[in-house]
Amino acid sequence: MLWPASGLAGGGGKQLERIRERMEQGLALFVAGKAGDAVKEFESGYAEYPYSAFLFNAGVCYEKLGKGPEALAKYRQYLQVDPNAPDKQDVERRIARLEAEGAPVAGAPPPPPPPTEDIDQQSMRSLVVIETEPAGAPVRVFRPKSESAPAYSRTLPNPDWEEIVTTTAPTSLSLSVGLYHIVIDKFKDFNGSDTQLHVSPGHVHQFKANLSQGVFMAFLRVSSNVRGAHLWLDTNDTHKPEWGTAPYGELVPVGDHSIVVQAPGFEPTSSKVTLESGEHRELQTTLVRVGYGFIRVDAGDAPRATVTLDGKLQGEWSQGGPALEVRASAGSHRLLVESDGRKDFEGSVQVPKGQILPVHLRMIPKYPRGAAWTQAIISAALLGTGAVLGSQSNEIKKILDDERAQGSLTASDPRITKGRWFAIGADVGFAGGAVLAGFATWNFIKDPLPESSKTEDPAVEFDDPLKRRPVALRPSSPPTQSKPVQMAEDEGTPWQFGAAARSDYLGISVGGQF
Amino acid sequence: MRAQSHVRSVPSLGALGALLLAGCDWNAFNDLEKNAPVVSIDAADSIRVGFGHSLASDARTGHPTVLVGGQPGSSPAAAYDLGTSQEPGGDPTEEGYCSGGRVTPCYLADQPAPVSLINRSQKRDKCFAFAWGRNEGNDNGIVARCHDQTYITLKVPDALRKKYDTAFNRDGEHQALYLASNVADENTLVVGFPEQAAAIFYPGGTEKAHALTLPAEAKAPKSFGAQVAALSLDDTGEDRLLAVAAPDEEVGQVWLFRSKGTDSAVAVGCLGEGHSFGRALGTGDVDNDGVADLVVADERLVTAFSGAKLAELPEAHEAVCSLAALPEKTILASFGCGSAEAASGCKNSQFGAALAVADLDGDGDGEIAVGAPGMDIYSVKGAGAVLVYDVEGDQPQKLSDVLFSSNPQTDDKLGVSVATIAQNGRDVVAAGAPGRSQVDVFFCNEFVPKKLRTGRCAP
Repeated sequence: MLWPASGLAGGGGKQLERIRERMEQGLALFVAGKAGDAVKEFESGYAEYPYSAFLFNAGVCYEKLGKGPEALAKYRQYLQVDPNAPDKQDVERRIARLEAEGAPVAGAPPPPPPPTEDIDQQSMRSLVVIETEPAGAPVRVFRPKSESAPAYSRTLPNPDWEEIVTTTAPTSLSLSVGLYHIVIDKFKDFNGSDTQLHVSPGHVHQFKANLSQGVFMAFLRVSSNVRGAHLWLDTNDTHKPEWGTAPYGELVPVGDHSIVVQAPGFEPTSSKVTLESGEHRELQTTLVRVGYGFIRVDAGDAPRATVTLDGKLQGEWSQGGPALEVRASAGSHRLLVESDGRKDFEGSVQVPKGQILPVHLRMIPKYPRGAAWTQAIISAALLGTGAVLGSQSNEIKKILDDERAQGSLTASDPRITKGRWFAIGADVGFAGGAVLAGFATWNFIKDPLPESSKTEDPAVEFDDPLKRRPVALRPSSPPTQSKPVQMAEDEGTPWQFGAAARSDYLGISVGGQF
Repeated sequence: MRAQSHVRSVPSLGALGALLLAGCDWNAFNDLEKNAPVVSIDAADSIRVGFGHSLASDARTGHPTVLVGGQPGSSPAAAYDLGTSQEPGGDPTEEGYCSGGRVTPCYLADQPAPVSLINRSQKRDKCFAFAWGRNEGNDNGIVARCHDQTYITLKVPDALRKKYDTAFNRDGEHQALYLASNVADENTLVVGFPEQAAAIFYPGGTEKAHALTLPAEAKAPKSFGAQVAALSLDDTGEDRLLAVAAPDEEVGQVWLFRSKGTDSAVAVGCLGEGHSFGRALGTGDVDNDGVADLVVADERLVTAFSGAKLAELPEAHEAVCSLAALPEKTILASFGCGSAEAASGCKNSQFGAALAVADLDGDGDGEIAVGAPGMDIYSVKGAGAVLVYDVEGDQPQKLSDVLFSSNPQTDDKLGVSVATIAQNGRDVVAAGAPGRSQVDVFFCNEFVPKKLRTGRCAP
């Protein structure tokens, strides 16, 4: 189908990406044996982006599901919206077959089963977008008549190739899998050009011809293990506007290019590529995290707290203020958080590489020791009094002993009574002091409150000064694997990503040279 | 952190435990009180003034009773049983000494004396002659009272009695009266009337008074009878030497009289030496010769005279009082006041205010206990002390021990009176302290040998 491609060409890069995602997601579901889900994906894709390739692919899915009438309806709708489809004959043949299957004649032999290849992955249609600069150039698309057809020649007649589409750029086509050749004829004062195209099933192919240069541009797509990593093309000055964020692909002039890939929390990398005309280059970069990280400390309901890491004071956190971020080398560190009137927290913290570890502290108030101190003071006073009285008593006793030894001690000597009361007072003081000291000790030791503790949130990426937040992708299985791979996003929400739909790595498959 | 708190608390708990274990034992003070070497006898309720002014004890073994007199003329006396187990009774056993109505009038003597009264229907025990008065008949006399509350009034020659009563009636004041007796089952009682310058005696076993008459040439000295004493010269006490002092003369005199059986006494001599000689007399066997010796105090010195030597004196016919004519070795020792670490102030000590001979170490000879009521104890003025001299040794003049209270108060005047009480083979000293109305009994002193150091005298 030809579809006005101005919407796609004129700033429709993002829209094209979404179409691609739809198409590839549907294909991935189909390949995974989920034809029903694939139908929904294609139908909703068509509802959002009315390209006929979605209709055809939905028909193929219905056939896979054994739902002939639904498939028949989709094929009919396909021809209805794109009566000049280059594969019109193939679609009509499918319609005839399905109609025959749906209305068998009495006594007639049953219709042959549809060829398996008609409803497999290879039967899926792809969307091909062709643009020119400037727009309005005539476009022709050729297809070989057989597999043994010779290569398309620019100068000689090509009897083994048939012209299937004649239109003007920009345009979008729904093409089946196979080899094609796209020809841009001379237009006004611009030169013509051509390129060969291998259409893959269920993909979106984009072509753009810069007719003023007379050549097709090269297509460079840069992907990274960090989704959203910032890309700069042909400059090392990262203060300039970025070229894009990974994965990102674009037609670029041929020649040497330098690509700087940078993401917060990762060591920046720089690559050089040399592109030829019409070349499609996939550049995969791997960023390595920096060797340091941050802990982001908040002390909960404590009014303020001081943070010490490995014995070195790092700063003070105040309630209502921002969280205190402390930079440290990656690895284990000793964290000490102190707050007046609250129990200290001391423990280890594992600082991640190139990430921020949010640490939330629960600073438990210290158990009140007022009673213990009161008891301790009274105990000390009693013990002190006991010691004084005891000393006095002992002194008196010593004197009286001496006087007894010399025979002068009188039974009625009032010092005997005095010393006795001092001794009793001392013992009372000691006993009372000891009891209170015991209580005080117990009350000093007793602590029914839990210790201060910390909880850690999953590590988050560094804040991005460019207001985006690249997310590192986990290493995953090869793209052909159908099993969905769970990937981490910056907010921690996993999302499903079909292997066949790994546009991050696959991108647009073809560029061309005319 | 909690574990660290536990660890920190361990040393403090240990120190606390050690402190508690080192607590004071108040029972130690109970032991001190129970076994204090000095026991103070408090005044009986009836004795309001001058308790301890005089002491009289029966020196015979088994007679641990002591009569404590108050201020003569104003207070009565009371008897205390000191027992034999070093646990003197705190309360008087008898208070009827001039405090009851059975003797009227009753004037307490300055110095009472133990006396045996056996010429009545039966022998009575623990009797003291203690006052002037009467309990029977119409005439005053020397009143004696026994433990069984028997009262006897010993008759005094009429002339003397009238003179004494006349003086009472004339002056309205106390007339001095001194009593003394020797140590014997039937002891002889000597009575001095210093204000009448007269003295009488009652030979042992009799109630008949005999006057002690000076030689014809002698004029009765002033204050004759201010101190009296009786010495047994044999085991029965029937041969005795009586001493009557007249210390107020310029040169104090101590007249000696010899008496045997129930006979009258004859003067055998007069001792005279220095001022106030005879201000106090004491008797006891100082030299362990089995004969009681005489101890005399003057203003500065205390001199011990051998009773045996004094017994050699012939009847005197002259009124010469000196020490020159005494037989050789009559003077056993003579010593003055000595001070010690705790006791000082000999000058005003009234050294010799009272005398007693006590066998403190139980070796048979007696040590001389000298009252010094003006002595300072630990700088406490006039607390008083009893100074003990062992005249038997090489240094008879050396102060051997000082007995005093561990709780001295100013003007206790301990030592105004001194007596000895026999206790389990040795004597203990009792001394009056009228300044605080107490009598202190000293159960322990330097002389007590180890074998006798038990109870309050335990080492």
